Amino acid sequence: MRQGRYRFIVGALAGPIVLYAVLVLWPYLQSFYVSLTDWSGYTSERRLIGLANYERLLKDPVFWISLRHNLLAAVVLPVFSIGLGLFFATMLNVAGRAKKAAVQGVRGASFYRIVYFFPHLLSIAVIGVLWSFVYDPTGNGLLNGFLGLIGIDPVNWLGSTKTAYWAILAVIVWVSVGFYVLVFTAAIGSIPPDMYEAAMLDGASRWRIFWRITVPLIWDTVQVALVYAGINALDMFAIVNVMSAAGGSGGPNNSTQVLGNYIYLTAFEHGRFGYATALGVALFVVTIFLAVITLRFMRRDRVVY
Amino acid sequence: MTIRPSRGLDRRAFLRLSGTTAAAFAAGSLVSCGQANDADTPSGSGSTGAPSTEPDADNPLNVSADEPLETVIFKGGYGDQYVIDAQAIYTERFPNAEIKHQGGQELGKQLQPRFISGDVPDLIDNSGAGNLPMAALVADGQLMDLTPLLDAPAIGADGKTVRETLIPGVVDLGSFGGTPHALYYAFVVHGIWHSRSLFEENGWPEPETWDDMLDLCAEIKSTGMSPWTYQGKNPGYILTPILMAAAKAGGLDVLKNIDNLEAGAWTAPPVMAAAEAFYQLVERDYILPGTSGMTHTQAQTYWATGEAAFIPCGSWLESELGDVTPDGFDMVVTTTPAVTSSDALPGTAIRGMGSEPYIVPSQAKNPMGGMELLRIMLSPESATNFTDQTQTLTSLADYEPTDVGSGLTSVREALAASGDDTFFWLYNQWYSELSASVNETTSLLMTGEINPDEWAQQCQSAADAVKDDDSVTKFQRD
Repeated sequence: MRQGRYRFIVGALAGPIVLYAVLVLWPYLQSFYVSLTDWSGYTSERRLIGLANYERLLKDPVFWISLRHNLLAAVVLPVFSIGLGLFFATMLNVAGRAKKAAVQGVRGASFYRIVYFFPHLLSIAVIGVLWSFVYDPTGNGLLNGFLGLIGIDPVNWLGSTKTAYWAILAVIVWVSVGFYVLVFTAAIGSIPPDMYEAAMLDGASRWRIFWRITVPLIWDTVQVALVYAGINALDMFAIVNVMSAAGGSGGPNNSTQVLGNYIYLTAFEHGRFGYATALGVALFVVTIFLAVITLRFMRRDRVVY
Repeated sequence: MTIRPSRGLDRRAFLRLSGTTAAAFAAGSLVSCGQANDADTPSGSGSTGAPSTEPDADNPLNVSADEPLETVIFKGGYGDQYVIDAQAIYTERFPNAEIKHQGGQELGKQLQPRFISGDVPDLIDNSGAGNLPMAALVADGQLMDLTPLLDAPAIGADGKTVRETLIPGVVDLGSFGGTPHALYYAFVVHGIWHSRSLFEENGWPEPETWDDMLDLCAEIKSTGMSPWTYQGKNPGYILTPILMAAAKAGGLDVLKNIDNLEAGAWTAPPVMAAAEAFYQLVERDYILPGTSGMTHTQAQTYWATGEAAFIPCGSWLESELGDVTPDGFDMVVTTTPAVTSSDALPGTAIRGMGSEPYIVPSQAKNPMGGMELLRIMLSPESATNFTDQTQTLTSLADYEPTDVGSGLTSVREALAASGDDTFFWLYNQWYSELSASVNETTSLLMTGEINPDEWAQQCQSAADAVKDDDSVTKFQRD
C-alpha cells in the first residue's frame, strides 16, 4: 500500500518536475554561467571572464540608480496600490449604509468594481501610450489642461528628471489598484457576514471594524498581495520602456531607469549579453531577498474561523 | 574556455580568402582600364563546390547564378518596395535564383538567434530602433568586408567602380578600423529646419551667425511663437546641431578627437562655444515649453503647426511629417549659424551622413549575391526609384530624381553648397554606451539642469570611461 502511494506520487510528479527543470531551472543555471562570460549575444562564441561582469556591476552607477528606483517602487507601490485596493474593496463590500444592519457595499458597488478593474484589462503598452498623451507636456495635455483650469502652469511630467519617475509610478498604481480590489473583494467575501453584523450591533466604528475584523481575517491575502506587488515593483520593464525617453532609454538622464529596462538596453542596444545576464542574476538575488523579508516581517498569527 | 564551432570558423576563413581574391581581381581589373578581364580571373567560388559562372562585365562579383538569395530589410519610413524593385532586376539577371525577402522591424530580435546558429540572410538593412548593434557584430567578425563590391564596376557609370560613384565619405562611414563593413544606402543631411513661407511672410532673415539667431529668436518670441523646439525625448536630435556648430567652429579635428576618444575632446573651446551658444536658448527661454518631454512626432507636429519656428532634424523630416505639413509650408533645411567670428569651416558646411546601413553577414550562404543586389540598388535607375518613393537621397553621387519636394530641393542645394566640407562623426555608431550617455547629458543641458561646463565635463568623463574600458573594441579614424 505504502509502495503504491509512492509510485503514484512519483508518477504524478515526474512529468511536471522534468518540465520545470528543463524550462525553468536549466535556464536559470545557464544564465549564471552566461553571466561569467563576455558574450555579445550575436555569436556562438563566448569567453569565460570570471567575475569581471560582477565587478563592473558594482562600479556601474546606472546599476545603482536602477536598483534604487526598483527598491523605491517596492516601498511606494505596495503602500499605495494595496492601501487603495484595501480601501476600495472595503467600500465596495462592507462600508455601505451605516444605519442598516445588513453588510453591503456603497451604492453602485458593482459598477465601480468594473470601473476599477478595467485598466487591468488593457495591455501595458496601450496604457503607456495612453498616459504619454495624458502627460503631454504642453497645455494641450489632459492633465495639464485640468491643471490649467485651476491656474497651474503646464508641468513637464515625463521630460523633467524631477517628475518623470513619479509620473510613471502613478500609472502603475492606477493599473494595479483594480487587481487588488478584486483580490480583496474575494477575500472579504469569504468572511462570515455575522462577524460584521455582531460588530455592528455592538456599535463598533467602521474604522475599528476594518482594523479588527477585515484586515486580520484577510491577512493571508494581503501578505500574498504584498509579495506580488513587491515583485511587480522589481519589474516595471514594460511601462518604463514605453513611457520613458526614446526607445525606452530610461531617461531623462536615467531618472526613470529600472533594472529590467537597463538589462534590456545592455543586451540589445549595447550588445553585452554577458553583462546583462549578470544584471539579471543581481535582480534575481534582490527579488528573492525582498520576498523573504516581506514574508518574514508580515508573519502574523493566522486567525481561524 | 572558448566555445568555437569549427563550421563557423572554416566558413569565415574561407570567406576572408574569397573576399581577398575578389579584391585582387577587382584591383587587377582597375589596372587594365576598368575592363573586367575573363582570362586572368581566379575563380573565387570554385571551392564552394557550387556551380560557378565565369565572372564577366555583367557579373563582376562572380555570383553563382542558381544560388538562392535572402534579404531582410528594415521596413520603416522608407518602406521596402525599393528593394523589391531591385530584386526584380536581380531576377532578370539570374532567373534561376530564388529570392526570399522579408521586411520588418526590430531586426535585432529577429536575427539574433540566426546569427548565433549561423543561418543568416545574405543582405540586411540594419536600420531602425532595435537593430543589431553594429560594433558588436564587427568585433565578433560577423560582417563581410565589402571591398569586392566597392571595387566592382558600377552599373551605368562608364567603367567607374562603385566606390567612385558614391558620395565622398560614405565608405568611411561604414568602415570599422579601415575595413568597410556597412554600406549606407540612403544619404541624409542634418540641419535646422524652418518654413520659408512663414519666414518670408514675417520678413525674418535666415540667421548666418549665432548673434543673428539670438536676435531673430527675440523677434519671433515677441510674436508669441516659440523660437525653438526639438525632439525632447530623443536628445540626440538637439545634440546634432551643437556638434555641427562645434565642427564648423573648430574644424574637422574637433570631430576626429571626439571619435578617437582623445583627452579633452569634449572640453575643447569650439565644443564649449557651441554648447554655450545653444545654452543661450535655454537661458533666454527660447524653447517651446515642455519640449524635453516630447516624442519626435509631438515636437515635429508642433513645429509644423506653427508653435515653434526652428527644429533640428535629418532630411527624412519631409517624408516623415507627410500630411501633417500644411500646404504651402515650404520647409527648408539650413546648416547651423556660425558660433564664433572665425569659424574654421565655411558657413555652408553641413553634416551629411549615411543612413540605412546595409550589411552582408560573413556566415551568409550567398554573400556575393547580397553584394550584387546592393550593386543593382546603387545604379542610377534604382537610386532614382528610391528617391521618388521616399524623398530621400541615396549615397550615389550623381543621379537625377524626377519627383522632388521643397525639403529635398533644399537638401540637395545645401549638400551642393557644402561640397567637400560635408562632415560627419562616428563615435555614436562605434560606442553606443557613450552615445547614450552624451545624449542624456545633453537633455540635462537643454533643460538647464546643468550648465555648459558641467555638460562638457560629464561628456568627457563618459568618453574617458569608454576609453578605459578594455571590454570595448576601439576604432580610429584619421
